[in-house]
Amino acid sequence: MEYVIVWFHESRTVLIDGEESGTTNRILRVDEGTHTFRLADPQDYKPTRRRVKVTQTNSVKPMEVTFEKA
Amino acid sequence: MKKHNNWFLLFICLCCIGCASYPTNSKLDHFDKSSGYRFQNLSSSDNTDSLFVILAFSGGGTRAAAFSYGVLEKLRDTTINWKGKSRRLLDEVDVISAVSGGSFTAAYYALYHDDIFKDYESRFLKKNIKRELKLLLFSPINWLRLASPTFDRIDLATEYYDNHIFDHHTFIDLVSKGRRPYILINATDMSQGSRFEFTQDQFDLICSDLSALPIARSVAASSAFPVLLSPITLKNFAGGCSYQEPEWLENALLDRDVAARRFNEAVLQRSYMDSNDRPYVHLIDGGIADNIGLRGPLHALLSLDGGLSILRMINMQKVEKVLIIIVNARTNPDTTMDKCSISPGLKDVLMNVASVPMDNYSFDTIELFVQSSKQWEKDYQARKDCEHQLETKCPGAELPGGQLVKVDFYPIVIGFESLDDVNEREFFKNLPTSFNLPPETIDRIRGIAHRLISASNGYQKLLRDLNSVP
Repeated sequence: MEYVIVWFHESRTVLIDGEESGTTNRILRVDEGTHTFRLADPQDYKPTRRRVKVTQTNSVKPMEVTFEKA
Repeated sequence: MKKHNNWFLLFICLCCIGCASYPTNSKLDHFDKSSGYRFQNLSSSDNTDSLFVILAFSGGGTRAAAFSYGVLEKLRDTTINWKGKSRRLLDEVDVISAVSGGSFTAAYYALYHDDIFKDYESRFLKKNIKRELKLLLFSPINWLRLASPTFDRIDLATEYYDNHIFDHHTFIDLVSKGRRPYILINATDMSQGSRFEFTQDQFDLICSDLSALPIARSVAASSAFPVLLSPITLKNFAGGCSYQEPEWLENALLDRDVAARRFNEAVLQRSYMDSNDRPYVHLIDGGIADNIGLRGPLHALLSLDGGLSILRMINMQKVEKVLIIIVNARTNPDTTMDKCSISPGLKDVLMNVASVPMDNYSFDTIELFVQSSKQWEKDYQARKDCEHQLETKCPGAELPGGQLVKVDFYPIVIGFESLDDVNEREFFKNLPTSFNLPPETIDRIRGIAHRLISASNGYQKLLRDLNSVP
């Protein structure tokens, strides 16, 4: 199991590989490998998506994926 | 003249029968991710997500069907208190993944719910299905039908199950009911040796509409034991329904080095999408790929990929407790051949090649599940410990990302090897894999299921945590 935090300035639903899979600013569990991260509407963030390879994380050292307000 | 007409009619009839074929699976006109037999299309109104209950029913003929039926009876008779409501544990079952013999019970329950307790014994468990299937082979009409290259023994079995057990119901009836449990009837893709489940997510890959498929067909495929029964063939319509592959699939194809299992799954799914290369898919007994029915639920627990992802629901903070009951009707391997210097015959070789590796693989699957749930707990505890250290040394400080969602697991594995009494254990571990067992043996198997569930640590812990009674 791998761990990720998706940062955004507010709480927003996180889409992982196109599916609703959690909330921003909270630690999430994901399976190891390449994933595409997006946020739910409105499209007021950038970049529009991030594709990252999630590997070698653990529950105290998650990978961080950051979106900024557009 | 009349005599000639009769002969002509007979000739036509024979031609028609000789060209017998079982209807193929239907083409899906247009891919629609929101319709069909999918987990998200089944309501959870009477069934909380927060207590997520998964049952895995193994193969093993009537023995497995009776064992899994006994588990359903036990869950029916268990009252729990959850979220301020008192209810039967059976009504919290969300997913049943089943193989071969176990798939009869799973499908019957999904179709008829509590009516299973009225007539399943008389219609299936205590009926000599083996004899009924054999009798079909003695019918001259069926000889002619079986002469057709497009009609085989498995088609006769399907017709029997359809007429006498599943009442011509198709998957659209499960969609119409719109209620859980979601059943995963598992077969094996013969050329790939991989799990093939009867869900619309799987059928999307071959652009086929599962809704029109008889439930009996899926159960027949799941229990099409090699050699004894012929494979079931599906036509692959891929390329004709504007299918859009899920986003995870393209990503997984980049993961050969870091996530080989995920990569392989993506390669397998892509293989269905080329109907020129694979115009047909041949299915055999689900036990060849996974004789315990646990691989599907395990994937759903550990992965965000696919239509059913419990991990996704956990991240969305919908799930708090996960109860998994693995019902393994495994018996002893036949070692009589080891007492003789003469090499085993072809029949023994085939039967062993088809069954012994399945049992070893089942053991590995259970181990993978146990290790995964332990790792899950360790990860949670590591973060808690770190939070505690931080709080001790820097009061008020918090780990970024807040608390990891806590999930309590209640794994239960029941099998005949858990029986303490040697004689009893040997009796059950030497039962044949057949569609015919004596009624009193069926009743004993059900009783064993009740006892083993009651005695299991997972069951007792769940009841304690829920302040409930068996």
